Amino acid sequence: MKRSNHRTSVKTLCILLIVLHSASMVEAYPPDNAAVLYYRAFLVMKEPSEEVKEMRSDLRGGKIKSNDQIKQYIEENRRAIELLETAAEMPNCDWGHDESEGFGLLLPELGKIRQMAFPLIADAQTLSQNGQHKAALNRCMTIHKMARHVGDDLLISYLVGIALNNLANGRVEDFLSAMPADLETLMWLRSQIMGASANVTSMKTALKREKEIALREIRKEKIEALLKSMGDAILKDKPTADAVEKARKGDDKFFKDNRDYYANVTTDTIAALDLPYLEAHKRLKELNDRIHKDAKENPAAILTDMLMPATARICTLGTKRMTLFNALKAAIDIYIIKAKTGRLPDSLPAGSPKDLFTGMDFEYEKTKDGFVLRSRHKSLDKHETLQCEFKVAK
Amino acid sequence: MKPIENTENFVRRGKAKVTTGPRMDKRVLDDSFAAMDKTLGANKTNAARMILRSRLARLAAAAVIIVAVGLLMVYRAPVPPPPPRTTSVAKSPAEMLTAMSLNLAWRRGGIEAVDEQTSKAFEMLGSQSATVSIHELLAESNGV
Repeated sequence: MKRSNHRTSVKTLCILLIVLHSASMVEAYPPDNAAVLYYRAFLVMKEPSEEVKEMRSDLRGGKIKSNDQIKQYIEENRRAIELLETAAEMPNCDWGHDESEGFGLLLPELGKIRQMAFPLIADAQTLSQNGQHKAALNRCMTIHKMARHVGDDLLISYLVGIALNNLANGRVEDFLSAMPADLETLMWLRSQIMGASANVTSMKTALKREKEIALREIRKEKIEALLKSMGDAILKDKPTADAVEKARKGDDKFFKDNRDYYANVTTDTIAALDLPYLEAHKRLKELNDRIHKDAKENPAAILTDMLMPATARICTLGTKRMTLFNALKAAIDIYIIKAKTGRLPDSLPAGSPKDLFTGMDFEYEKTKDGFVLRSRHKSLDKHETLQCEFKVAK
Repeated sequence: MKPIENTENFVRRGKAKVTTGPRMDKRVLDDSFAAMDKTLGANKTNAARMILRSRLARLAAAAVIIVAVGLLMVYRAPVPPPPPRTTSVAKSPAEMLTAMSLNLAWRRGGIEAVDEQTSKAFEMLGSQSATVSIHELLAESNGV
């Protein structure tokens, strides 16, 4: 009797262990790091032929409609797209960067994640063409989440994130023009865009992380590796061969002065980013010019001049991204009014999101087939005016 | 006294008292044209003869022709296409994918240059097979 009980207990215990083990196996997917899934997606992604690449680009530019070859390309990458969607929903993403590598840090994911966004966009455009507007918009939201995962560890990551946001928002603009006035989808989209714009990467964070790396790299024992990583560019670009020679022969004081100069410039740059765009851009441009001028006379500025990119331009790109987000929010509000009342409003709704180039309302103009939202100021780098054209589907 | 001065004195002294009329004018003009034709014809022959006779002139003419043909060939030849834009500043694909290298690419040409550089790096790395078959694995493990 006792033996029988013992056997039963052992059996029960074994069954429990098997069940628990199976449950833990089920919970093991997805892993708690999105990067694992992104890397898997990169491995199974099929590169398109040059012809399909061109078609994909034409489709994005609105020159052609989705066709059989594009649909086949999407189907060939279906598993990769599914992996991306799962990855994008996850809160954590650790790319496994080895920061001790300094500016020699490998960032292969930046190019791959950009490439992966293109089949997603092609899929979104095909879905929109088939009338599946919400699914199409959802693909764009996946790209926003991917942009968040790219992170702001460095300025280059920040810039790739901006490019992904703009890629997605450009298509949202197209899909809004193509979809019928569906209040539920518009309300859903509004909350999605609010969430995406609240979660964007930060130039300040990128600058702070880049400063940490730079302060570790601006050292006598690391200068050769740093110059080597810059390649021929340092001889062809602004730093002269003379400056490079000074850096090579620099003593400990030279490097300490250069570290201090870099740190001060980063502090000034971060402070300037709190200002409204026009003022921030002016301050950053002056700062960029000053660094370049100082580098000719003051050896302490040499390495900052080599390492610090054109922050005024990066500030413009960041402002453009957020202004585009705001234009979409304003447009969605207008579409919501249209869905509710049956007609476009005569002016922008009160409390409409602002044009961040000026801090003012967008210029709103009704056109024969929709409306236009326009910034009231040209960007200060390329002198382009941000303008979003929206149509109202019949 | 020289002939030009003679003529000038003749006119100045008012001795050029010649009665002219349509017949006189016609005769003077006809004589003048005949004299001109004769002079031009003679000069032409002389010039051609001179060119043909002078070895130096012949060499000069040949040189001019060669230079002209040469210039024509240079200017008519299609302009060679500009050398392809180099995108990489690093040596290996891995070096093309470092933070510094990508930063420099962005400084050169924005996000398009970053795309171009990363695409080139991945192309150099070669594409991996998306699937691995059991048959391939067995073949590679060589029966072990």
